[in-house]
Amino acid sequence: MKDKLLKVLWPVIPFSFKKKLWSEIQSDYEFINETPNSIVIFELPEYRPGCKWTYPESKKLFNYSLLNPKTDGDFIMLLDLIMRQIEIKKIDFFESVDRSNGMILLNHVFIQAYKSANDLRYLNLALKIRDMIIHQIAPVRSNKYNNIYNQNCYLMSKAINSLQN
Amino acid sequence: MKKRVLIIAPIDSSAYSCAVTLRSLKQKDLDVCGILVRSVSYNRFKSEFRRDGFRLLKKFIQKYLFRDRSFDFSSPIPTARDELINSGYNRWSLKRIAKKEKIPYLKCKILNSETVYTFLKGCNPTISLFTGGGILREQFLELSGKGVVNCHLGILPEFRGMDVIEWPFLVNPKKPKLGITIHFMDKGIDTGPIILKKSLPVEYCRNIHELRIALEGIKIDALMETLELHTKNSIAVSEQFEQDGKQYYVMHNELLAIAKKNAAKFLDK
Repeated sequence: MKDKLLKVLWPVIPFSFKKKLWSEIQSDYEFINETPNSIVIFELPEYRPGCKWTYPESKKLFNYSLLNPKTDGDFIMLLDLIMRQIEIKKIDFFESVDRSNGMILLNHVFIQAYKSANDLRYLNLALKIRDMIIHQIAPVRSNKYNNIYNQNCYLMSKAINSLQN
Repeated sequence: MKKRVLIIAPIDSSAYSCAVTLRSLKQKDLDVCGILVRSVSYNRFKSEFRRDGFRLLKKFIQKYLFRDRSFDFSSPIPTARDELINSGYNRWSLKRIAKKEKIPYLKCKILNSETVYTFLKGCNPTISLFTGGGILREQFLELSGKGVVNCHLGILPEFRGMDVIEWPFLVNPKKPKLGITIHFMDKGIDTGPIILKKSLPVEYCRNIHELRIALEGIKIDALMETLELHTKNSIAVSEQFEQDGKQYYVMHNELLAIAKKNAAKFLDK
């Protein structure tokens, strides 16, 4: 299941990243409208669990619950949401993510997602995150996550090789 | 009563936008009621560079310096540039066309602004053609007549988003789903009602680069076909559903290389 790892890792993804992600969603009117029935779930302490979000411009109620993610569907949606926000460069990683932990964790999350879902969009994103890690955070990368990082690079080359053949 | 079309363009010198404007001017029962162009600013360049990376520079050189000229491939279907040369408008800008044809013209920094909304109200279009420029907000869409028509370079609803000529060669290299889709824009990205679809001229092209060039003429023809339907009040749309497709993003270079290789192999057949 592609969401299993995210379930485990979500609590350790830095709070600053989640906060940034949420503020981007709030300001992204089109995005909210695209998925009016979605339940996007966060664990931001400053929002009360279960409260409904009212978008100020439209005064329309959205079913954005701010609970902790629970079901598999919640996690899949969360993963797609993170992918979208990163891909359209709504989030600047290096402002919001703890460099030594967050990037590598996300890298891991996305490559796992790719592996289980066989969705090439995740591989695409994982490659981009890998480039960011190589170019920007290599000097501060902690040894703790080196194994994860190396494993991901290996999985990615394997995935690319299989595409080439 | 004549229908009124508004043209939305990404830059003043876009050959594609100029060709679409000129072809619209030739349409019977149709008035070009306004041209709306986005200006090039440092902030716009910065945000597009963040999205596209160095590909933006290539695009910039191709559009600004070479005005969409192709040096290594002569398209069997006339491109936007060919259209401009053939009609004696080579190197013309939208501003110049607007001045000559006495069409209201506005250059704006942001498409979703009060100035633009006032301009739209003044033009009062019955339909709008989008040839590039950015995301349009709800208020913009509401002031665009029947809607804003966009030509998407992939088959909808399956391939939404970016690099949709390349993605099919990666997703299904043996049977890539290729084509263009004319659709009305809505609040989402490439999620609006579909007007028509056209296939790509794969038989004439050897690679993705050539496909992109050959596509230009098809895009213009498809937009004109839509305008014709509009003048006859016979546009019929089919709705898209969120779950029917995926949104794709800019392709990483490593995947792009594979897609190009797959495309060359497929087109070679």
